[in-house]
Amino acid sequence: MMEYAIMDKCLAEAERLRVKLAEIRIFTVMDENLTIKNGIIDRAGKRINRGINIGIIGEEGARGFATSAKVEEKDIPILVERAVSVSRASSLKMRKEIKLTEEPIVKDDYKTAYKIDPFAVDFEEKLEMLKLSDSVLRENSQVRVAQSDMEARRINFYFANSEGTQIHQEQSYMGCNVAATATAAGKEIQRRDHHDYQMRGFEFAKEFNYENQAKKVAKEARILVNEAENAPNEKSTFVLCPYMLGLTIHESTGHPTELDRAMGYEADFAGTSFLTTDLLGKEYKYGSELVNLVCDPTIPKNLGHYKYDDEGVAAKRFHIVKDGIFKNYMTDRETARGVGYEHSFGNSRMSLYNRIPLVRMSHLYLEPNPEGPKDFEEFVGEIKNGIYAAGWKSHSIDDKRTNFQFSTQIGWKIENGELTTPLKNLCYNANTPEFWGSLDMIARENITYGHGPICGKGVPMQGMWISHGGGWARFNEVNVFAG
Amino acid sequence: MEYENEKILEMAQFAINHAKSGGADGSYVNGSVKKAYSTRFANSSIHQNFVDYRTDLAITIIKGKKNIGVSVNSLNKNDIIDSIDYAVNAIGLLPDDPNFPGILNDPQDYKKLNLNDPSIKDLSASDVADKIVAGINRGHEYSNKVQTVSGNLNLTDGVSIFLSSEGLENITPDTRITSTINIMSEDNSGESRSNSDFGHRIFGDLPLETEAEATAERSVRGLNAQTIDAKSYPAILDFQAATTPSIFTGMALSARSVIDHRSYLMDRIGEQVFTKNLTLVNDPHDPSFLSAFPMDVEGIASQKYTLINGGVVENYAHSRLTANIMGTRSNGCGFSFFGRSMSFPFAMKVKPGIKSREKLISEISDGLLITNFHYSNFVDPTRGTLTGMTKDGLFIIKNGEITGSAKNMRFTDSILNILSKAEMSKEVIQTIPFGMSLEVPAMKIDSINFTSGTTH
Repeated sequence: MMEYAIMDKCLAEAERLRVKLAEIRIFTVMDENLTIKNGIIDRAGKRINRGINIGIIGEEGARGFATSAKVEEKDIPILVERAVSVSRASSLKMRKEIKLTEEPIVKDDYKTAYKIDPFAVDFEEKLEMLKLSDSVLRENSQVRVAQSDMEARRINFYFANSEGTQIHQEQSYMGCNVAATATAAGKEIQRRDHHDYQMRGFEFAKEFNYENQAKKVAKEARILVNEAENAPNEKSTFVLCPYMLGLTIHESTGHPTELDRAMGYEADFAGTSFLTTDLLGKEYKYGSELVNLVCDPTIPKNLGHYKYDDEGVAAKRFHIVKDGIFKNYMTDRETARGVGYEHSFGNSRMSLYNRIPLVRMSHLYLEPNPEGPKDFEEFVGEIKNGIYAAGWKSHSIDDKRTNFQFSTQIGWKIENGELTTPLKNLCYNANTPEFWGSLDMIARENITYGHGPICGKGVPMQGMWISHGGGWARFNEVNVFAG
Repeated sequence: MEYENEKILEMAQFAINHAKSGGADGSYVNGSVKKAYSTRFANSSIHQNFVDYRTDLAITIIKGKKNIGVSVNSLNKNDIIDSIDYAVNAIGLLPDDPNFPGILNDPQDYKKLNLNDPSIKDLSASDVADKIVAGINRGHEYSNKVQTVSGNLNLTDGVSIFLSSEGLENITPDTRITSTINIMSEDNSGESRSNSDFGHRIFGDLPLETEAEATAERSVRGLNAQTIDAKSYPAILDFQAATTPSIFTGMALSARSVIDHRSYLMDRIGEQVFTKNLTLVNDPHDPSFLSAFPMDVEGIASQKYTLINGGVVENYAHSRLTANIMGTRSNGCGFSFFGRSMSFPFAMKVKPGIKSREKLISEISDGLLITNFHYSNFVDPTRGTLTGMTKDGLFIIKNGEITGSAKNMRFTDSILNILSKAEMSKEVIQTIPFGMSLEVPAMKIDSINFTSGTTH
């Protein structure tokens, strides 16, 4: 394979220049997007982005990277030399020598599973699926903007380091989306959508069932403009759908438990974390005893699935919060070593060849309660008065991840165990530990959503593909209001 | 492996020819060849540092009343052929778009803009690191309360090209440097941060040390923050904070947002929506402006025009497609994302006022000075409601003077309210929201509604 030959040559060159560690990555992202909006093509296209990323720890103990869109053997000596000169430049302002956790040496070739290769499916077949979705969305004239999307992506990652690890990993995923914007007299405008991504092939697009999803989304958009009341302003018993639960986990658990962030490495852009490193191992109470938040990239089909992270470390399942107590951060090799972990948890990821791998979320979920209500009907049946919220509209959270506010697409009042009046413009605002401390019921069912490549972090920005899950969850005394 | 300016033009022409031979009616190519330095520092130490050599070719194929986009980041002929063959095959299957404006064949007058720093050619990673080290040191020198200096410096330098099957051609060398400084100070009362985002085209003139000192000063001044009530306050939106309502107004002025029913400025052309003190222009021809560029991605010559004049909405920002849908002409604000035609006023300037920033502060009897907002988002884009957090400096103003600092607060308010009564400072700065640039004054506003707070 050409990639292995190039990586071998890079490693030999790095050894000649006496670097302490060399990591070579050849990274290719190929994707295809198709969108129909109101009967016409809104976007259609294919993108290929490929390049080489050489990371080293130089003699002085500082990191240096050189990346290039050209992956050719003749350019290797220059590239490696550049990485070394960047490392020397980094050493001009270095607090201490970079040290990494020791990790097992791995040689492997892994591909995420799919039944139907989306890049081999006729374009026409994809187009027909979206045309059907579009026509269903527009059956009612109150739907003024109908949108149906499909996305396929394949990531090919070749990795070798000077410790002897050599990996090829291929990830293939698909994403599907339907959205309806409805209007009514008095300039009322409301939008409802449904989307999901899975680490699978075209079979996922077939199972997504555009027709049924389009019917549901269009119906709820019309409910929003015709029947829904404005959300009340009150402290309420509050139920989140699994999708919104996932986003709430993402913002209030995921980001503050990225160890690079807690160590201050993201201070220039995204911020820091209220979960400072001195809280590690101190039994910090993050939430109620029902709160068990698990990071697990090992589960096939979930969008956040991988076998190895982008430092070649095997993916692991581990608790971030167990029985309400903060237990662990997500890590890469450097940050793990920084807080005294023996090994990295394997959370180092990059989105393009010309990005530096960072500590990223993968699949992070709230464990279901095996003794909780078995399904949504039974769950709602347990609630006398409350509010149920579904669908993402917008979100915002402070730089330490304590004060968050979400807007949702649709809600319902819960009265005597049943969903009653539909609600619009429903927002919730909370403090992270108080919110998770008020969790008192979780369903037995565990529902996962892939959120697409939407998690932004880093400078330059990296959009990472992630998934979240959980069942329906009930929180008490949550501040809800119409926004 | 150095700049391949001639090669990218050759490959762009090859792509156009190959599309033609495959049956396309026309095509155009946006390409670039660039060198990039990207360095991040945190805890007063460089922790991420790379140099990148990148190429990009985005090819739009047109046939009848439809188009499709493909992109590759290689200048390899086989990669280009594969992408174009895919596009030519797919475009035959697409339905017509009655609003699609077809191939651009009107002649364009592209302004010659001097957008590059020739000295970058000789720049090394050590030069970038030296500049950062000087900034870090300057931050620490300001006060021994300064604990950490963080930030980043991102530089891209190279050539952007546009070539179309109808003979339109533009080659623009350009340099863009953006930087952030974030400084944390600490004393017995706890920690305080301040932040500054800035940019320049000339590496030697990037004011990293000056910004480090100013940011350190704000950071130290922010110590000993008090808890304040969640309620409405009169306020000064300092330059970085004034960026937030300005850029979200820019989003609402995108004709694409209007067409998609995602704008609170839908159907409001000619209406007095904001204070008469708000005038917003798109000015892509000022070379000191990082967003300056002679054209948009569709090949339309960029132009200076007014978006909001004395609070009255005058124009939306158009691509050729949105202009066609709304029965007007493109004003050179088109951009494409996987063939999706978008539009955005990418070079916005808010007209300054006549009073100094200090004078505006002196006119507040009981209010706040807001340095920066963080993670702002529309609560509802159709009504212009926005939420976000203050970050990196919230100060209390009593009787025209800054008397202390406050712990961070969440605002939830309508942009229409925030910009209904506003007065602009005579000073302006260039800020860098979402990687673009915006020229903005500080703003004195009558009220902004804070709904909750934090403990930091």
